[in-house]
Amino acid sequence: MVTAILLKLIILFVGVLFAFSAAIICFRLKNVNRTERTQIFKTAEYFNAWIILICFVTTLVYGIFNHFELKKSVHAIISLNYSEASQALNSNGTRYNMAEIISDEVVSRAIKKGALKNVTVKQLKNCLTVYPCVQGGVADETQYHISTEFAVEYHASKHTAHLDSENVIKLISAAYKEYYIEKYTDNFRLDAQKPDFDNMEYMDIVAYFDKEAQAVLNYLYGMAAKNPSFVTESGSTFNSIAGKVHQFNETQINQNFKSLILQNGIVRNKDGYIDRLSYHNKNVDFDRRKNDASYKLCNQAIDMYSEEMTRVVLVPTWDQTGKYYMGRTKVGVDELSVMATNFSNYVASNEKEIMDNKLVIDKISSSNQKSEFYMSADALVDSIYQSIKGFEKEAINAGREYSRHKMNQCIAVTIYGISIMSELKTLVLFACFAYVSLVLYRISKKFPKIGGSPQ
Amino acid sequence: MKNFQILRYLKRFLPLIVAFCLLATYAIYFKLSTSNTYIASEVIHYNDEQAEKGLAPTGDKLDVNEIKSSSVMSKVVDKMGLTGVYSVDSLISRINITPIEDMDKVAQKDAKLEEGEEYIYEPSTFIVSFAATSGEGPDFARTILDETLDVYFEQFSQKYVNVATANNTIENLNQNDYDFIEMMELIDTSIDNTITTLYQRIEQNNYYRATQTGVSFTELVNDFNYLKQVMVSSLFSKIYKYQITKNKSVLISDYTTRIDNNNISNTKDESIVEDVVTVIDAYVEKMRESGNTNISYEYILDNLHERNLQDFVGDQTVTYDELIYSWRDHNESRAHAIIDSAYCAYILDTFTDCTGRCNGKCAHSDLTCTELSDAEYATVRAEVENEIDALLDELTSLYQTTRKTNDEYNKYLGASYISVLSSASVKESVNVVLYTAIAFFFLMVLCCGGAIVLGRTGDIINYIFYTDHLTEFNNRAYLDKYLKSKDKKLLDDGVVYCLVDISNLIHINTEYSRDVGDSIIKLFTTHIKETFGKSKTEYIYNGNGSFVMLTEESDYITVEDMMRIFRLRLDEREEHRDVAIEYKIGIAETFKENKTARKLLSEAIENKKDYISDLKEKSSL
Repeated sequence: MVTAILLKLIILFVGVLFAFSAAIICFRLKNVNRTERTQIFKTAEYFNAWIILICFVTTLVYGIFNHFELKKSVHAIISLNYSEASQALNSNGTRYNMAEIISDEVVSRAIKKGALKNVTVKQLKNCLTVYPCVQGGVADETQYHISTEFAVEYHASKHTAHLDSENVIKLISAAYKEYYIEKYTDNFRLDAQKPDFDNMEYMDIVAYFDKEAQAVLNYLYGMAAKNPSFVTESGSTFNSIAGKVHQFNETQINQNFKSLILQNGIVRNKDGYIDRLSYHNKNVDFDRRKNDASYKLCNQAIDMYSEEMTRVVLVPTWDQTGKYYMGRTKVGVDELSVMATNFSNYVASNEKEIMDNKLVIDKISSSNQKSEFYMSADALVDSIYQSIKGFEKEAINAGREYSRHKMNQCIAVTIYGISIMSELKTLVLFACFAYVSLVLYRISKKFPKIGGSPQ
Repeated sequence: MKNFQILRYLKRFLPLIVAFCLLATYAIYFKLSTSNTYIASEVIHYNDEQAEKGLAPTGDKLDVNEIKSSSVMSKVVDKMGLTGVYSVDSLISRINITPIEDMDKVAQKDAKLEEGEEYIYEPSTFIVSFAATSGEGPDFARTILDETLDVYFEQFSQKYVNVATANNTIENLNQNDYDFIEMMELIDTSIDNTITTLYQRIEQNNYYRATQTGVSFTELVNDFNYLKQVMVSSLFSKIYKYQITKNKSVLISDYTTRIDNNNISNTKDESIVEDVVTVIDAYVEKMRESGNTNISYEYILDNLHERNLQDFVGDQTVTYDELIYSWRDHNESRAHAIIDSAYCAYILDTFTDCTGRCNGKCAHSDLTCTELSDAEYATVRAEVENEIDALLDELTSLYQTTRKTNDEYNKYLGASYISVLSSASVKESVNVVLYTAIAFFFLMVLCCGGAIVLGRTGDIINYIFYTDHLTEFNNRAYLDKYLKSKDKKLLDDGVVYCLVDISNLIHINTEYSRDVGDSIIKLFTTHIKETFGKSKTEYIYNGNGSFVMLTEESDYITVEDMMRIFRLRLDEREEHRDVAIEYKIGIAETFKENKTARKLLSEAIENKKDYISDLKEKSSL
């Protein structure tokens, strides 16, 4: 702030000197004739040691303040390195919005990250501008351009003058990078809290483990769909990790652990759990009855079709490549058959669920419930939980490695500080201006106040 | 009159022209800059093939103007924190949408239409622009356009692609006065509906994972299923087992009413089913009688070939199918209603069941048997209430994750259905620099033209008012003007005023005639011009045979020499040798004390000396 004022004062002083000298010359011009005027300008000392010295000192002071002032303005270039950027998309396929680089959330993160004091999000945001490094046009197709490089400029204001400009732009860039990766690159939700297994029924724990393993599998299959051939530094592929998880889920969770519980009727609240399964069976039975009714009705509807009305006819049609072929008409019988099959499947599924639950009820009802089984089950719970967490980490690391290597961290940031050449250019310009002003002032002194010979 | 010399005029007005042009150019630049607008434009393209038929993916009419709809713009205003600063309408009025037609498709359409064939083509590429004032700047234009399209892409997906919603309908359910069993039924239904919707998403994109939430739709389905399987089942079983209800009478009335409603519905459906069967029989009979049941594939083929292949020929089987479906649907509705009634009866049995521990009191009480006889009832009821609260909290959190995931999915779908061909570029509506340069050039031409016209007009005025037509010298009026203009100025060094007066002009006019007098004045004029030659001199004929020469950049001696030559030439004249000419010559040069024009002229008058040119006597003074 002080430097800006001093800088302006120096420029103002030189400017006033210039204007004052010019005014004196103009006012006193009538006091001399043309020959005298020519004489004054001819005999003026354009290379005076004092003028050069004063000019040098002024320029030096100006240069110092200007340097500090220039340090308040820096810019960074943010480049998008992933393939989707050329389609104006984020790496997750949503539309890219450049304005997010200086969004409230990013600026707030930067303030928090750098522990910047005495500055609000709004104040800092007002000092930032963002624009594409290259922009196209819309006049015709040849001018179309998708920008993938953006410049972020920071110009300190009086509210942010106490901050180090280069640090601010670094913080903004880092905060945006962090924000971008968090928001737009592949992410996998991790359960922050370990469930309270001691208060959960063992069969519920099985369901929980199965759910968690399926989540990891789903993530890995999704990544494999993007790039099935990607190999991590440890030599794994997404499919190979998924294979391990699938195997673990089938063997350790659905066979070993579930079998241990089922065959030994391990339960925390026997009556409560049996009641729950009984209710569930009752409820599923209602669904089964509905599905069964629908299935039967579909079959009856098919039976109702009159033979004369269900003749199959061929109609000319064309496929996706535009070639003609004779297609078979699809009548209601076809659709009803498909529906009947679906309902039949639902009924089967309901019946299986009921039978499974009945089996669990039977096992629990007839079990001895020895304590060693419980100990084994609890040990397995801990072991399986740790293994699942291990798989989660492995999957996430593979995903991050993919992002790092294949997408080059998504975005790259380059910080640009002060340009020495531009600083020198300003200095030279100021020195010239100061020199002209000083010389002009000296010349103005030679013009007489009243008519007569010059001083 | 002076010759027409363009450069002379321009030289005269050049400083004025330059000053005026610079000032006027700056004024134009300032005006253009302040009234200039920044236009941010982006090219978008609807990827769906339906778009070229003017349709959205759902088959509705595609209205591109939705980009600048109030719903989109109000969201933009909110998102950018411009509420109260900008009105939605003011922003809408600044958005412009211009279609870009594919010329090949247009030609194809025209050709088809000429042949009388139907061809629908609507542009699917558009330029979307937003204009910001010079005060708002280019960044504002770009940001508003970016945000508008962001919101529009999301809304497009919501409206035309990802239509099914997965809303949380059970939020704060525990704060309403629902009975426990009703609450659980609502929760169960809500979970089922959400799972159904999420399965639709999974069918569209199996591996879609929102980066913001880190979950896929499959994981959300698994989460909902897990809650349903564990917590919902557990709560239902507790409620049934302990007959937990807030009001037994209301519950019994409610479920009894449901059974009654189902019975009414069944009766209605039975009647409809009978009617449908009658219609089906009549329909088949009529089709048989009319021969439509004897159709063969050749007939259908011919029939299709007769018409345009593009036109779909509906066959009668569809109507028949609809009748069969109607029969099935009504029967299904009836069958399900019976099962629902059975479920209601089960609920009624559960809550009216007497274990015997209440000694039959529950039959005539508003309380259930368990509530009357089981000491644990209050504890279990409190547990159930807490568990329902916990379940609702978990479901609310899960619904929030679902909403966020769905929002991102909408953005993803929006961006996949609408692609950006050219990202936002900002241009000035007027190229200020170019137009300023043009204005400067135009002003210069105008001013130079004006200067020429003015200069030439000045020449004409000068000739009419300030020129003596006998001598072609400047006249007395010019001298007066000159002296007036020099009143407040100091003369430069080297200015010499020279006066030449023909003293006996009146005598010559009288004795020899006026023509001779004029002839002698012309003679003087010629000799003066010849004598002063190329010196920087202004010639003035002051009337009555008086000449004034204002010479610059000279000195007294030079002018004196010139006058000496003048006198010699006058004495050697060939004409009017018989006329004795008496004349006076006065010369004055600028010094310290006579730097004003009037003083110098007075001094020249004072310095006048008499001369005579009488060739008869050949003598001179």
